[in-house]
Amino acid sequence: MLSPARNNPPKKTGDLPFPEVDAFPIWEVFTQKKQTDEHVHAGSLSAPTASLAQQFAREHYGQDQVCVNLWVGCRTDFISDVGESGTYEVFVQWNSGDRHLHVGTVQASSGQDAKSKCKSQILGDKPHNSIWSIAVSKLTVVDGEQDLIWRTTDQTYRLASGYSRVVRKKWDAIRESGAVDTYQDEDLKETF
Amino acid sequence: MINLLLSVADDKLFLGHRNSDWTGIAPILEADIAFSSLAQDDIAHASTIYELISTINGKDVDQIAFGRTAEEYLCASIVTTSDSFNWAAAIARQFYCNHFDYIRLQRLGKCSWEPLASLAKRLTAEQAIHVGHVSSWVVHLGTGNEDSTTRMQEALDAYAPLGAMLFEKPDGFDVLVSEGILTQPDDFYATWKLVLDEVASSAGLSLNLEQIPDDFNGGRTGHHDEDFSASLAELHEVFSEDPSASW
Amino acid sequence: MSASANVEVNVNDCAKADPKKLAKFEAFVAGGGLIESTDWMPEAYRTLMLRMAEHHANSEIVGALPEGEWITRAPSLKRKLALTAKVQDEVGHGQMLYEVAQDLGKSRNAMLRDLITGVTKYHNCFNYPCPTWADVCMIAWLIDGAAILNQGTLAHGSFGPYTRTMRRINMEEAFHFKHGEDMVLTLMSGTKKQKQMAQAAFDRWWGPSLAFFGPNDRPDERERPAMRWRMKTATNDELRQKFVNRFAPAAMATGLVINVCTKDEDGLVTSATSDPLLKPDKSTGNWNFTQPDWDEFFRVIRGNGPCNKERIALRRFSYEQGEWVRRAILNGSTSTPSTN
Repeated sequence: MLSPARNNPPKKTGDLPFPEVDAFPIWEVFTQKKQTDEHVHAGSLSAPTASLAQQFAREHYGQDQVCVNLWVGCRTDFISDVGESGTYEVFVQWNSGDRHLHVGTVQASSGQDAKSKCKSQILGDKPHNSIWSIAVSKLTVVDGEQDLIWRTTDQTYRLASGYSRVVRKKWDAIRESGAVDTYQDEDLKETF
Repeated sequence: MINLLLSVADDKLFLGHRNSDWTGIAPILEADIAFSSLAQDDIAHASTIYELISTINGKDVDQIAFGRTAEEYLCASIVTTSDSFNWAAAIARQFYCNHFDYIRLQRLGKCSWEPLASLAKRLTAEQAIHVGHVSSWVVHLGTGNEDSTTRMQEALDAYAPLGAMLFEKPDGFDVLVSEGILTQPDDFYATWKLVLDEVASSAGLSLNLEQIPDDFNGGRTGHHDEDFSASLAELHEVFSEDPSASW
Repeated sequence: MSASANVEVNVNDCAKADPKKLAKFEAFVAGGGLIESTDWMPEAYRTLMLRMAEHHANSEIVGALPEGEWITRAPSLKRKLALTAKVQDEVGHGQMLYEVAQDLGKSRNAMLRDLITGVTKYHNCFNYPCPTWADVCMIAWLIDGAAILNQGTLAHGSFGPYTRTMRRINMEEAFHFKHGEDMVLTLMSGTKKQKQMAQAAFDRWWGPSLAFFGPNDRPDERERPAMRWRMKTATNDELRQKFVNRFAPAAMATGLVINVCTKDEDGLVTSATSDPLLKPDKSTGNWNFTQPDWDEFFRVIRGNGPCNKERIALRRFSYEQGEWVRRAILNGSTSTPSTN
């Protein structure tokens, strides 16, 4: 028995009755696994306001593994060359394909200045693919100590690690050698 | 004590149950993900409380959660009332329930039975996320545009009487208070209303709340309506095919 | 995912327009290089990559629907939580893939609108019904299992944003698959009714799982842009064979019978006979198997499947019902970033 929403929705065809609305701004999210780690880029999301962006970031990117802190900022602010004088967090993508990684903090007069200070003060001659910078005033910070991110209730119900042992036991119970050995092949294990 | 625990757990189980149905069909992908997180929290919270009950009566946790007859469930009506796939209704319901749960859990964190107190304290920290989330949505929708303000106000009004029903006490509640296990100052309703009023007025909305009469007999004492029956039927659909089977 | 004639013409245009840039790009990609969305890329690559990400994103959010039907009916607390989390993950995957596609030049709303008005497509397997709890178990085990095999190779592709997303997605697919495995093993070690339910669901999902990898390879598969530009790194048939090699013996080990089935227009099985080909080849070790019903596949993908209309109807209903919310918050008054 399906709920009212899912049970027999109207089957409309043709154009939609309303025009397309503007897209929400895009935000970049950085997560910190533990206090001693640097923030790493987790991904992007679309949201109309900083407070919704923060909420979305916590529940989407803050939940794949233990997370103690997360940063959210507008994409335009990360890539911008303009901006006011102040403290900037700077991030580097070492090679194409990598995730941007927080490398430090600089005092700068603009986004462009922050990026160039990142090079001169932090990166030196090290080759890199891309630098992002964001004024601290434009960064929303979620501190897991004050504002819980990773839950304390048992999350193993939604992690592969929550099932590995139980599944192994069940296979052992109905094991047939050869058949199950093929199944436990290297490639599949690699994914986990 | 079991009645008290069931009333808390059943509220959360069915709130999570109804809200989990939004997964995949909410208005915005990111909001869908966030809302689903909260639904999972509620079901997980209910689970931990059923486990606590299990330490008292020795029953299997799934049997406690799934294996009762309708009158044995002690949730308030609000958690199973259909939101008719209306986001404003879903948020209004969350608004009343999440803030209620937050205060309720904070107070349970002070009870004299240590296992419940420590569990409640842990859950309170997670419940803080829920109240932050729903208050933010109430403000966003209340201040969005004329259309959303109207919809949000209508939803708050529609759910107000149900919100008040959250305060019906389960059987034996007063005994727990008189025995000093629960320290429940009388200002529960007033505290809750104050918090809600603050958020609502910052959103340009008003609340039309009225306390229920002392002789009210609703969900907390096992008196349920059709919406509850529908939710229970969903909950039981596969389980009841073979209640003793492992799934 | 197939390259249309239009895109092939564009490839030739790219070569004519900027032969040096194209040659450099192709060498870079062939050498294992990764392209970011701000890098130069041939127009045909952008078009194909966007289509691929869009199709994948569409598949995730349509895929969320059949299993979503069972969230409220899950038979235990753990299954209730796990299924909600799984469907939530799928929405998350869709979200991330729409962001990848959006970076290539098409807005999310435009993509959602194209999906719900039938302009763009999604994975065919989601056009089949999910009539019992056991179907939920089989989808998680077989379809997510197939997805891991496929996405494992896509994670070695050439487009940075997409490959990063694949790696994140695969972490979650691992949970989906393990959970599916747990559910199937539980059914197959359960009551007679549970085993029968499992077999019936397996009969419904084995065919779509084989077809999941797409039609049989074309003879020039490796020269076509998708593989030449390392957007795909394995062919459909290669992946399909891997799938059978892994899952055929596993299914049989649980006591399931692998049948060749015919279905009616509601997607329900009308006949099932044990696949006579299902044996490992002595020299290669590859399992021989009966191909999925390709006539049925093409019939379904063209719109005449059991649930095509229902899936789109629900997606469209969700989008239309949610329009007022998006409009309301778009002009939210709290528009400046604030630290909390």
